[in-house]
Amino acid sequence: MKMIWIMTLKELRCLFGSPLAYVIIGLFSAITGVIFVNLLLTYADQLQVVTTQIAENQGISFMQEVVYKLFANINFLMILFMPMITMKSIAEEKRTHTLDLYWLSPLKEWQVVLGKFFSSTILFVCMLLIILVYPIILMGAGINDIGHLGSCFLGVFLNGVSYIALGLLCSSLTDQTIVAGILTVIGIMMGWMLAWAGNVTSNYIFSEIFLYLSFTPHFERLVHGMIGSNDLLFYFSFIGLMLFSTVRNLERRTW
Amino acid sequence: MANNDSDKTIVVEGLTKDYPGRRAVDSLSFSVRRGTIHGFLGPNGAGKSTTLKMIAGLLSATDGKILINGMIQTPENNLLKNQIGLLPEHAPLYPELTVKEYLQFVLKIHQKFEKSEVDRLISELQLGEVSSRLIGHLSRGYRQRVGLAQAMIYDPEIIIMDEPTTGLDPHSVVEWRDWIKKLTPRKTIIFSSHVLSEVEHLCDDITVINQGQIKATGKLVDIQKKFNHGQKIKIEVGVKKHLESDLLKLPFTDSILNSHFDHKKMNLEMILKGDEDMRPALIAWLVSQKIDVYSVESADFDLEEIFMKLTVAEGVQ
Repeated sequence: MKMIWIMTLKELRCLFGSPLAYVIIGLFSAITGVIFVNLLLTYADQLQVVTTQIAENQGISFMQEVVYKLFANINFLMILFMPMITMKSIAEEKRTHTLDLYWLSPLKEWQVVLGKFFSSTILFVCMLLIILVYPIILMGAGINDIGHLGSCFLGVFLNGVSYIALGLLCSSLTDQTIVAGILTVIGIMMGWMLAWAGNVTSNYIFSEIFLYLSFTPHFERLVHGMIGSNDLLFYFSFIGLMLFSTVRNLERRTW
Repeated sequence: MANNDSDKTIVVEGLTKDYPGRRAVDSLSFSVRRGTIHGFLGPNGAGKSTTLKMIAGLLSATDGKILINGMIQTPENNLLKNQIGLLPEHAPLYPELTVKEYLQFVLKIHQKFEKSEVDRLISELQLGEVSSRLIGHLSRGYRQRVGLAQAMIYDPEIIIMDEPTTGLDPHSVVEWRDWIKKLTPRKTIIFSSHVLSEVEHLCDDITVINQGQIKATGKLVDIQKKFNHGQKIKIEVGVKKHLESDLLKLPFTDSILNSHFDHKKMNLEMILKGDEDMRPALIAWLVSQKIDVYSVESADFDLEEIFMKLTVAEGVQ
């Protein structure tokens, strides 16, 4: 555990030692801020036309129009931001041969991968902490469904951490950071498209498999406040599988 | 696995490494004596770096074995991890870390936590004035020094250096030679370089490889003797027309390596045939031709000539 922590600290020092981390956090909070304000103004416009009661009868609820859409947009933004966090992680070290430093030491591949995973997750948590200001604003406005908001954050967090695990695997497949980034984007999009494939296929079994393997249905249930063990199992299995594959891929170096 | 010869830190036996479609290293066998500087020579693509990486435990061998202090070296052998330091041609550095942070990290991943070791090495390698600076802002010379510190910080018994002085200015190269010399006999060093004069000055033993195969290995003086086929001599004589072509017609002359005029004298470097000393015959011929003879002395083949003999013959360079 100590070695993983040493790796994590070093990775964090490298991440925050370059402008990239600040650019990612800054851009992410700026874009989500603009989206949040835009959604609030749109909702306020809708309320000027009809009363809250009529709006809710028409299915225009605050949770649906602001909260759900905000987190859906954040999920969409992560397709750009998560590859930016992970694409350098292993690919850059392969290119500059700094991975050799670990293999000359008693460090194991899984300790290196977990160190990188935790440091990327900590950077992602920093991004989420900044957007925590939105629920605080909402609570000031009288929206106090903390449980639902927590579930939304959990959905974004688990989706983001899954993308990080996928990004690490892609980064271990190449020594070109751009290629690693593109592979991650393709991987995330494929995860989304599985839901579309599940919806259009007429075969029940395939449909169920595609829908289970896609991020989208699990994420949607979480942002609608439904935390199911089935969804948590999917995320933990996916993250575990990605990290295991990354470790195995790094072990191939000696062949 | 016990090694009977305690004088040898590293024993390489039949080492082979195959990559898809090609053999990079082909049945290498050599040994490195404890506390010596062992030169590792070969043209580009000869398999030097692959061999050094296998010795360091970064790559596994397709066949053969490497014994380090009697233990078999493999990438999985954790017992040898802290015994070998490696400075590759491009030092593995993180530009976002300061020199001190970087060295502390290397020390920690080797499960050593004496912070005083970092300060000691910073002082020894004269890194004090840059210890708080980001590595990304350092010059090539300082970066290489940090790379050396990285290979030394956990006090390994063996240090492998892959062309460490490439790209350094002459002043730094001299400093590096001093540091490397100071490391022995406490450490065993494998030193690969393209600068043959450097290897000649620093190394006790050498191994020359070409196309993945050993061409020569052993003590430098023994190799020089072995390749002294014929006799290399330097002569200083009076000037005479067509002297070079006349010398080449002599039955005991093999070749003339070079010649130049110096104050109405002619200096020639030539190789005489056979193992017998043919200098008296040459002097007798020069006197018979009424050519003034100022000096005739025997000379050794230098490492560059041996290297060229071993590698150019196969059309590599």
